[in-house]
Amino acid sequence: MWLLPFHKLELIGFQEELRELVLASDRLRRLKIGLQIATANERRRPGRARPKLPYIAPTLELVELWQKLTGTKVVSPRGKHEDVAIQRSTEFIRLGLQMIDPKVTVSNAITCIKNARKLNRQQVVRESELGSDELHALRLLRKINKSS
Amino acid sequence: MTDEQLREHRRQFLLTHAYHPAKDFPKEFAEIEKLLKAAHAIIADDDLRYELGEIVYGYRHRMQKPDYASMLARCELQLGQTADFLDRIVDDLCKVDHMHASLLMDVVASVP
Repeated sequence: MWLLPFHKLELIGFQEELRELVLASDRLRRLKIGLQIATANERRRPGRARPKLPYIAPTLELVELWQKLTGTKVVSPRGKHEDVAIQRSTEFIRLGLQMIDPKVTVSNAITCIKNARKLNRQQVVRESELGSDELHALRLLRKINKSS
Repeated sequence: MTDEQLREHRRQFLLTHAYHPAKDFPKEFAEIEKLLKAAHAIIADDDLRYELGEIVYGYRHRMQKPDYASMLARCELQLGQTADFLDRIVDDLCKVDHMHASLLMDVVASVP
């Protein structure tokens, strides 16, 4: 019986070690989910569809920047076969994308703007369906994305 | 140093050493300046360099790494595998009897 307290102490130490391992495993899973959410734009959807242009995230940021700088919304883009886009906002985004990748064409920029506008609309609908915790997580993620 | 000061320090560093769109993309940047002027946008030169630089240089750097997407996929996979592996280790360690457990803790404690 006199050994019992020592065993208890040793088992507490052992359980503490196990708890640390469980916590580490939890952290790894959280990192995995975080990585999945944060890099969702980089992922290619499985299937036979043509891969999406890899410029959707910079387009969204350029749209936001144009709106912030000019106080006007990015209009729905028109025309595809010119070297220079007709609308100012489309041209601004095309130039920004071309600085990122010189191969970007007017047609690419137009497709990206259309996709970005669609994504923004879907996001507004989706956000209205989210609970407060999910909204908080989404806002936090945006904040992290902006500050990183 | 506060978060605000760190951000300002980073901004100054990038403006001095990295974000020079007028030098790196003279044609595009001049066009952008013209467009913004025509749209009556009021922004300081440094602010424009920084705001645009954050987008352009960041994504440009990412797109210049062809293995980046596969590295992300690999990292995600390994995070999941390591978590599963750790869980299996914990399951097995839970089955260790109390005599071995206390001996194990003695050994662990004696390791510097």
